[in-house]
Amino acid sequence: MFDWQTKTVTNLPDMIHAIRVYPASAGSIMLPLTPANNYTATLLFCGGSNPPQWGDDGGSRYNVTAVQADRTCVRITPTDANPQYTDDDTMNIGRSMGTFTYLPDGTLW
Amino acid sequence: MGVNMGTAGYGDEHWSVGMSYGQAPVYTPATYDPNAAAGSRWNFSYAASTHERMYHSTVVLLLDGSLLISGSNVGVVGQVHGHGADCFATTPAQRRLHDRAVGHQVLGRALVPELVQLGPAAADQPARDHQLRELRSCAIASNGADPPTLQGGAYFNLTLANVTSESSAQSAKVVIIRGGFSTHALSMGQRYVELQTSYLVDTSSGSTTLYVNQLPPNPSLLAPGPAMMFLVVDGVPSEGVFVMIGNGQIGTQPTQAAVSLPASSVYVAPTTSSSSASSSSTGQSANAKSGAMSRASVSVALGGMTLLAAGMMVLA
Repeated sequence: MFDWQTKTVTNLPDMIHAIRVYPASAGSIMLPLTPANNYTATLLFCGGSNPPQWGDDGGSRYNVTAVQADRTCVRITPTDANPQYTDDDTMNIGRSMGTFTYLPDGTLW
Repeated sequence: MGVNMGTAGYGDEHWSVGMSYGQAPVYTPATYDPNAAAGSRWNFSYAASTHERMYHSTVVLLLDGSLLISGSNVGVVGQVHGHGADCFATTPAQRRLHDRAVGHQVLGRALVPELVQLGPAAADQPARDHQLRELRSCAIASNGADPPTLQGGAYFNLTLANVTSESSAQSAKVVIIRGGFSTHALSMGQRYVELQTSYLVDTSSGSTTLYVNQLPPNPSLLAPGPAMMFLVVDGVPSEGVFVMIGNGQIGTQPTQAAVSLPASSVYVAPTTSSSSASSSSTGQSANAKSGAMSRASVSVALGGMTLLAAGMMVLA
């Protein structure tokens, strides 16, 4: 996390179970901020990938299409005193390039 | 909806599928309920789409509460694979992917019966589609003010016509959604903020007043700018409306102190001619105060709902 007013960086723990960023591309979203959770931000990450190697700007350099996507979900609340990723419900199948979107009733698509 | 094998991106290697680094597309959407008990949050029971949604795909929330899903093209710009758009209706009774052309009919069929019957349907519209729109226009216009600035200050009221069940009143919520910037199967910058609410169920007039608080006076909570506002009752969303968070100008945002909402309560008209009121405070209160309201104050409150926009209960 970056505090732009004090120009300080606070490192969070390493992601667990899978790579979530592009190109592994997990679905990610901030859970709804509600009076019940005192408008506290919790982030949810689902899916992604755990390939045996990574490529470079020129290409993947190996057969990435043979790697099965990840099924796990994790949450983290960065403003916790000691923020840690916690396990959440697993998906039925692994997904890379999943996209979370809010539905008005507060569930996620 | 993504892929089950591979990742995002594309390239011209011999192992690419077409040009895609991902394969085995997932055709079935899923929904996740963050408030459900652990182990019960996912719903995988939806029917499959006929369209895969891979690297160059997008999804956006529309004001009618459905999702518009489009694209898929896995290769370089210019190789368009011609996938049509899906629309995903978001009301619980009718959640499925369907062709966009019939979106309004599907949404209309899913309305909860208690919310409807707000006005005559136009002959050329499904009856409940019309009623959904009436709910929205009735609700948003009820306190007569311009859309709220939503950073502290006086609360505003919404009228839920024909809502007399306390459980429906308790389920009611007003939410602000900042839609995401959607591209490449990423949806960036989304926010969902639920406003604090409390209610007055009036069984004699057959409607509920929902007291809706502004956003907490902290512009860092939700970046100022346009956002969508929805009313949701028993899981059914109204049509959304765009509101401006803050003053619509770049710069330090004006804020006001947060106010407290009236305690939630149910008003039941006395069944005899005696003057004693019968009311009860049940359910969740928005603040710590509780207690019965006198009949006189309830009558004044209902008769002068626009006055409540000033944030004060008027007592006779």
